[in-house]
Amino acid sequence: MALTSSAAPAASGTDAAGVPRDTGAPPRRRRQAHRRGTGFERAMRWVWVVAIVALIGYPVAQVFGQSFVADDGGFTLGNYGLLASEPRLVEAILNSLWIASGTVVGSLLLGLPVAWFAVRTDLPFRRFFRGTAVLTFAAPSFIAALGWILLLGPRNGLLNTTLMSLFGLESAPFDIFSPWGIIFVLSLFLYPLVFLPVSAALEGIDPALEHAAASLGASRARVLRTVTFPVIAPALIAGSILVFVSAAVIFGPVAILGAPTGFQTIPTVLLSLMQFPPRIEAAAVISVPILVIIAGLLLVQRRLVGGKKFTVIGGKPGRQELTHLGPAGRVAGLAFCTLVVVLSIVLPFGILLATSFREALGRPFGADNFTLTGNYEQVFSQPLITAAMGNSFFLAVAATVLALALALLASWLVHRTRARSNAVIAPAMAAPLAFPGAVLGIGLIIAYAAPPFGLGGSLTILLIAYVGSALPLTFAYVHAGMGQIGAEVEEASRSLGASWARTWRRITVPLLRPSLLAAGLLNFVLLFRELEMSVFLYTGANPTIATVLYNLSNESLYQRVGALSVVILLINIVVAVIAMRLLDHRPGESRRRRTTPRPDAHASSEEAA
Amino acid sequence: MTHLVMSGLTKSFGAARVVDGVDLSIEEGEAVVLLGPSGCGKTTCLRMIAGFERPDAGEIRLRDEVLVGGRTFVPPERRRMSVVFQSYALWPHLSVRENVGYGPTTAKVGRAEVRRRTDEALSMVQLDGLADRYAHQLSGGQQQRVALARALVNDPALLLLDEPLSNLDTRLREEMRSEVKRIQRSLGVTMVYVTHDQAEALSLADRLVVMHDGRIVQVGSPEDVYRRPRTGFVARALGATNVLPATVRGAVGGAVALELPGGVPVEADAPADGPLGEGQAVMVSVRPGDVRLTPADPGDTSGAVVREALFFGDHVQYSVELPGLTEPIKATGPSVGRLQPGQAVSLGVDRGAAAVLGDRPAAATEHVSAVPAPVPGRSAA
Repeated sequence: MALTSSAAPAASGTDAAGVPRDTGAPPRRRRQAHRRGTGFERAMRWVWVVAIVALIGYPVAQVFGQSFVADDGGFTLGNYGLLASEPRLVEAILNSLWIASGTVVGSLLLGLPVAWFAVRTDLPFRRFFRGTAVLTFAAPSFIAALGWILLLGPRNGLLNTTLMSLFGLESAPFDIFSPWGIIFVLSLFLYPLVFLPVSAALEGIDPALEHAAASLGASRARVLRTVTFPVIAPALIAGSILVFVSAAVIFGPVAILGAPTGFQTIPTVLLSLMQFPPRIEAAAVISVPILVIIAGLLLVQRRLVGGKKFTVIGGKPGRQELTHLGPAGRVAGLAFCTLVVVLSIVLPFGILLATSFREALGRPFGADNFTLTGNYEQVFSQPLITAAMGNSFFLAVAATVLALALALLASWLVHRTRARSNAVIAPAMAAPLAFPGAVLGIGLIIAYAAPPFGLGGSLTILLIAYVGSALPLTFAYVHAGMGQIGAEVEEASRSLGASWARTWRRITVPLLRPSLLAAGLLNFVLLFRELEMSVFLYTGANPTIATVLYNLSNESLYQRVGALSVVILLINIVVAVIAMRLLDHRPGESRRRRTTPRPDAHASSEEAA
Repeated sequence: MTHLVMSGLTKSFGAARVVDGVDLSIEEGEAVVLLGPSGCGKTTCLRMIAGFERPDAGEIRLRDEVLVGGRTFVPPERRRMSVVFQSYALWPHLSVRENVGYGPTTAKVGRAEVRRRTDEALSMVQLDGLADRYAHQLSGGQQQRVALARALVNDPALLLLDEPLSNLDTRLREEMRSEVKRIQRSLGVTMVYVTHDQAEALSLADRLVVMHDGRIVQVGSPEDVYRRPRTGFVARALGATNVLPATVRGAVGGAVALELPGGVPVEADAPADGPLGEGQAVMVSVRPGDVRLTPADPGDTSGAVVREALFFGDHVQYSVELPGLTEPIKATGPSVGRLQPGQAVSLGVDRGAAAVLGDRPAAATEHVSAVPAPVPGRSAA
């Protein structure tokens, strides 16, 4: 926005020079809404457009396009005939739907009770249970799946062998390598998607609503059914949709737990289609309907979340009346919530930690089967692993920085410029949420792997993938942060003689620092152990830490799997804790409130959280 | 000396033209107040002066320099205009001292000089002791003072204030109003002040600019605009008034004799824009305080009757019904000897207190009442 005072020679107004000036009489022509659209602003808008097209638009368009390309390069609808001729494609879709539906049920069974206990009762440690739900979500699900193999594997699973010896069973009671096992692991990982919105909704219910119903003689059950449930229903359905979508397209746990029995869902069948020789048209044909369904479901979900605002956030946070649990209720509540924490975090990650100190997998746990550093040394002595560590670290940092820069640019455009096209920016930044990692990965392969780009097997193609997938989260945080900084705060700086650049350096970025840090750290965590896209894009030349771990587990090298998992988890936890600290107490929050209170600030930060 | 000149300023947001051909010159050291209802374009004018908005057409000049016009656009940081915002826009991550010192620091005048100017500005707004606080540790009035100090410290060519007092409570607002006036006077700084509050406008302005629908409708000294509003809109913008139909009965020197419905005589200054003919129908503005009510004379045929009398301690507010008018006339009177509802009264208007408006009677009836009946037609006949 720093511009032209350099001035055309005769800009002093009275100039004739052929420039039609409409001083005085109201100009005839209707001016475009905004001529402030200066060179700089236009350039920035183009930078954003090019970036989004390159990161998301072009690869996804390629997937659509390839589904209509015949062998000879012409247009055809014939590819969709593959859905009929290759039963495994349809089977994979049905498997995905079955896994997704089962996971929704499982997540509701876990999430709803925990939400009620944590928000509406006087259960001891309820804050702790809330915190762990958030933590679970930040934990990597495919590592949890590895843990469950060690617990419930049909041959050597620790829980299975324990139960067998306790009850003298002939065979293992549980088999984690089954659809049920997958649903079990996914529910434990995805239930926070139900828990978080529902507990927010429960918290937002004005107790007066429930009192009113109770005072009219409604029983507690009736109040729950007629008042409480309708209010939380949108949050509940929205959360369920997110669980459904996530479970239908998640790769890691399904690949790890489904491989031994050849159970395939959409992302795993996509991966096998992309193995040499790649069958791109088949992959595209299966991706397109998935994209359409997901887009539809997410639109419904957004609607519900949008509607939520006026049903739930009614202004002041209502003083919640906590249900007093009797002794039996307390025991039941504590037992249930503890079980969820044990199953989702303690057991799977605990067994990995224990296994990482185990010398031989064949022998039982014991003092004679203990090595403190042996497995870790083995892990770190492999050049492949250290190289992968380096790659993942570099990719996570670089992609986070680039995504933050793009998010800053996008939210600047939305908040500080006026153009009709601004309306597409927020949806575009959120769009990657709707694209399964597998589909985006395939799109990137089609788009950039071959010449003229020739990026196949390079770090660059992974970087492109990571930046694209990081956009929704970064944008949500930065956008919310920017919404709390009124334009006047920047204008005040400009009017006091500070250039645009100085204003950003001294005012805007410092005020955004909490949002930038939180978004950056969370992104780092998620990208450092990214598997969903990496598994499509890596080769021997660009391994990442998650793909190395995935391969170790395919080779059943579980002590090393344990050691490497522990390393990843430690990095994960440290960064996540820092991020949560920063989010929780939000330095400057109380000060910021005074700047420019914006009506939407609350809502948008809500959305980001 | 002419300081700032705006000519032909026009600005649209989408299809809405918010500023529609504004011409205004501001003298050095002058306090100009832009007054008008929300959406009249006053804030947009201010923002165009500051450089936050670029006009679609027109020109702004500061002395000899073109700030905007043609292809020229001087960015805000090179205009030397300080803005005090309605929201204060203090920077929450900086202390009071850092907020106020931001301008001088940016100008790189040296640390000692920054400190000197900052201290000077803080003592100007009487905040000497609070330099190390943060905005959230200050009261609303103190935040307002910091915003003012931050704006003054840069020795601005123009001080721009955008409804700076509207977030304060009434008592504080009055206090800050005189504070702003005192500081502006003592520094002799040229000021453009935007408000919708008539008391602020009248008390702060050397020159008052009333805006309506993106245009300037009247400019003048506060007294002049208050006493001689050119339209019913201007009259109302400056306080409660009665806009009434009247008939011209003759002109004496610089004054015009008029007659309200019911034969009530009124005398007004002759309007500047041409003589009025006898029998002509006009609209006049009469402030409630200038209406005199007395118990009806025996010969009074106006038929005026008190409908309502509200007691306010030091004065009484009356609504008086006058046959021929759809709306009652508002009047204030002393609280001693108050008149009772239902009482017949004689109306009088202080000599010279009425103002003949430029509104045409037929059009003006819309202002008089929402009822479409064209009452003034009778008096015009």
